[in-house]
Parts: sequence; structure tokens; C-alpha cells
Amino acid sequence: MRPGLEAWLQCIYVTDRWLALICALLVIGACIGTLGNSGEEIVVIHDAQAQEKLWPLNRNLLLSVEGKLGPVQVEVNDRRVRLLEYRSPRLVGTMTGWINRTGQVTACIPCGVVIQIKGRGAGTMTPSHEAYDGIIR
Amino acid sequence: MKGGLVMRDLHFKPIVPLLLLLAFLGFWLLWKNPSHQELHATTRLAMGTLVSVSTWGATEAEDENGVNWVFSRIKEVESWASKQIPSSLVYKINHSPKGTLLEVPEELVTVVHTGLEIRNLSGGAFDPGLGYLVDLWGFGNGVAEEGKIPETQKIAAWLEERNKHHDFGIQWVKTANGGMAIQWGGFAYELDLGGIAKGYAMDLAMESLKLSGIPNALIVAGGDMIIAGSKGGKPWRIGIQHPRDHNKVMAFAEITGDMAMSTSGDYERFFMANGERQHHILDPKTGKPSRSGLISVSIQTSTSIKADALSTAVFVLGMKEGKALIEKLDGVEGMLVHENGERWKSPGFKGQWLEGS
Repeated sequence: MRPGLEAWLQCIYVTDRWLALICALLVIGACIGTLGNSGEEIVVIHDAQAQEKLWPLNRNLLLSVEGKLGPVQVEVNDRRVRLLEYRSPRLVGTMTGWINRTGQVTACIPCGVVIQIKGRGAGTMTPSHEAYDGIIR
Repeated sequence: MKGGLVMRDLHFKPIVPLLLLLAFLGFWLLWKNPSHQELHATTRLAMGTLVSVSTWGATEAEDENGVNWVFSRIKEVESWASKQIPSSLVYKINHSPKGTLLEVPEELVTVVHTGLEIRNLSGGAFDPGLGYLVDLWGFGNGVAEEGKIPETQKIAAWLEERNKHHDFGIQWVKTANGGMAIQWGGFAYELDLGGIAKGYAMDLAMESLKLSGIPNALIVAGGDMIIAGSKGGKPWRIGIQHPRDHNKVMAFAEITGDMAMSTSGDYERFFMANGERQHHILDPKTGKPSRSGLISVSIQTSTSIKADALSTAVFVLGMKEGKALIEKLDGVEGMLVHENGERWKSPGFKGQWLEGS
């Protein structure tokens, strides 16, 4: 042990060392938790039958789900997701393009298909991602 | 001995800021951790539109429970108020022979009564009995896929039938067990509760959230919105869509406390024909899309059911009469946009125009 550090450690109580250790563990734990969460976003897919499918955003996927007007393709690629409608009148969902942030939604209402990106667990949303809590249309 | 203690304390001092720094870092990282964010948002499809429920301050389990309640209440309302679902009560009423007496639940009585109240207040600008016309124009299923203006004779026949009666063609009859029955007046009074039942469902949904222990929430369903409480003391931030650019917000409001807001516009469900925008807000006096000149109307009031019906009524009335109606009613505020660029908002309307919108 280096002489400076040894001298420094000698001048603190044992209980203080434990306290320092607990604080250090707290920081390490929080770091792991925060970094670990960045890869845990999930894609929630609701099809026309109100069936819910979950898929990790970090795993690529090309899936055909049942829509009221015919099949609708859902593509997950490179940590983003998009919806490709087949027979929707205005193709609003297709025109929305890729979404990639927690809380974002793309949907084909006539098809009855909704896709949302959620964070870990029950779907948290980072407020800074969106300027508004809701947009009335 | 005393001197030794003083020395130890002096040596100990460098650890204190280090511990404080570590503790601060720990709490900061935990706070930044998304699982500790207090805002939860869920979006699902219901009542033919996207319904978003945001809650503040609830645990994940409380949020999930509350959100399930919300969608279950909305589904309940949809199950009797939809005119497309063959098992719904409204469908049954609309498909019964004229004059049929049908016992109805209190909820339907409340919605139709409120609709008729707004109809009277607005001189007929809002009408819960436009079902036949809505189908004729192709808006019955949410989106008119192919733009096609209905035959003039069919609209004329509807207007003629309507003009035969001074009263609205629905009669209420008290049943022997104290309930209510509805006597339907035929095709000219086919119920379409699309302009009011969603508002009613929103009121019930918010009530469910509060009962499940969530006092701070925001529910948005297309043009309808209901708010309760705040986001940890901060207001909910609401954007109002630009009527001619769906990627833009033309106004915003910061709202704390209980309030409902509804927007009616000619931009959500429409098709172009004869060089005109054929939209879903029909004028009961002409049987055609309203040509009042207004393109967006937002109403703020205490309940979503009233906000929903009043925004349609004001849209049909136009700028002058719409303003007069808003000013006449207590606890009702409005924001109107005319196609000629004219804008107006009542003094108590919570919200402001965005520059350049």
C-alpha cells in the first residue's frame, strides 16, 4: 500500500470506512441500473384483435400482424420501429416513418394496429423527449 | 486525551466531503434512472382513435391498474353507444321500426339528455340524431375512404322528414319500474353519439383513475382531453394541433387542476370533392358539412361531455354566433380559428397562440 493512502486510511474510523463502502456500492449499483436500462426498451404491438405482443427494441424483427383491413407489417431495425400498412386509406401510420424514443407511438387506426415504444417495466416516458404532455387534434 | 481527539477529528475531516459527494452522486443517478420517473404514459386504440393516458406520481402497479380501469370504462361506453356495433343499444334503437319503445339505461339517458340540452342552447347546431346523414356521407366508420358526395335527393328527403316535426323525434317514457324508455322517431333521428359519447367516456375514465388512487392524470383521445391535478406541482403542457399542418402546434396551454378540453376541426376526417373539403362536422340545417368558415374550435369547461358537444355546436354556428354562445355560458371558454385567418379566444381561455403558427 502506498504510504500516503495508508496514512490517510489510518486517520478514519472503521465505521467511516463502512459508510464509505456503502456509498461507493450505492453509486456503482445506480450506474449499473442506469446503463442497464438503456437497452431495455420494448416495442408494444397491439393488433386488431387487441392482442399485445412485446419485442425488445434492440432485436431486429419483421413481423406481419393481423389488421382489420388486411396484414400490417411491423419492422424493428437498428433500435427503431416502423409500421407498413397494406390497405389503409391514408397510410398515416406508414407516413409516420420510424420511431425510436420511449413514449413514441405509431398507429394505423383503420387497421386497428398500434405500436408504442416503452421503457423498462410499465412504460415510463422521459418528459424532455416531448415538449407536450398531450396534443389535442 | 482531549488533544488526541481533536487531532483525530482534524484528520477525519477530508472524508466528509467525499462521503457527501458519493451520496449526492448516488441519489442523482437513482433519480435519473428511468424506473424512478414518475410520469407514465400508455397509448391504446379505443373509440376509433388513439387514447393516451398519462399519470403522475403513481407506482408502476398503480398506473397499470388505473390504465386498465380507464380502458375498461371506455370499452363499456363504446359497447352501448357505438352505432357500428350490432350488439350496442344505439344500433338496436336505430334499427328498430319507427315508434318502437325500448328501455334504456341511465347512462344513455344522461348522454342523450345532455346532447339535447346543447342542441337547445345552440339553436340546433349540435344534434345527436344525425346518424343517417353521417352514414350517407361515409363518415360512419371513422374515415371516408373514397370521396363521394351523397345524392341531393337523399339529403333533401332527410331534411323534409326533419322539418315535419317541431320537436326532436325522440320521446322519453317512464317505465313501470321507474326506469326510462326511448321512443324512436325514425330515420331522420337516427342516433349518432359520436360527438358526445367520447366526452362522456372521458369523464368516466378520469373518475375511475381518481377512484383507483391516481389524482394526477391526463387523458387525450383525438380531439378530447381531460386533466386532473398536476405533474408534481408543475402544469400539464397541452398542444393544440394546427388545422392546416398536422405536424405543427398552433397554440399551447399549461393547465393545473381539473379541466376538460375538446377541439373540433375540419381536418381530421374529410375528403376533397368539387374543390371543397367535405368534412365530418355536418350542419343539421343543410345536411351537409358545415360551411361556417371556422376551421378549428377548442372549448374548455368542467366536463368532457359538454366540451365535446359544445365544440361541435360552436363550429357549426360560426365565429359571431359561436362567440356569443361561449360568452353566454358560465364556466365555458373557447378558442376559435376562421379560414380567413381571424382568431379569437375568450378572456378566460387557458392557453396562448404560438408565434408563427
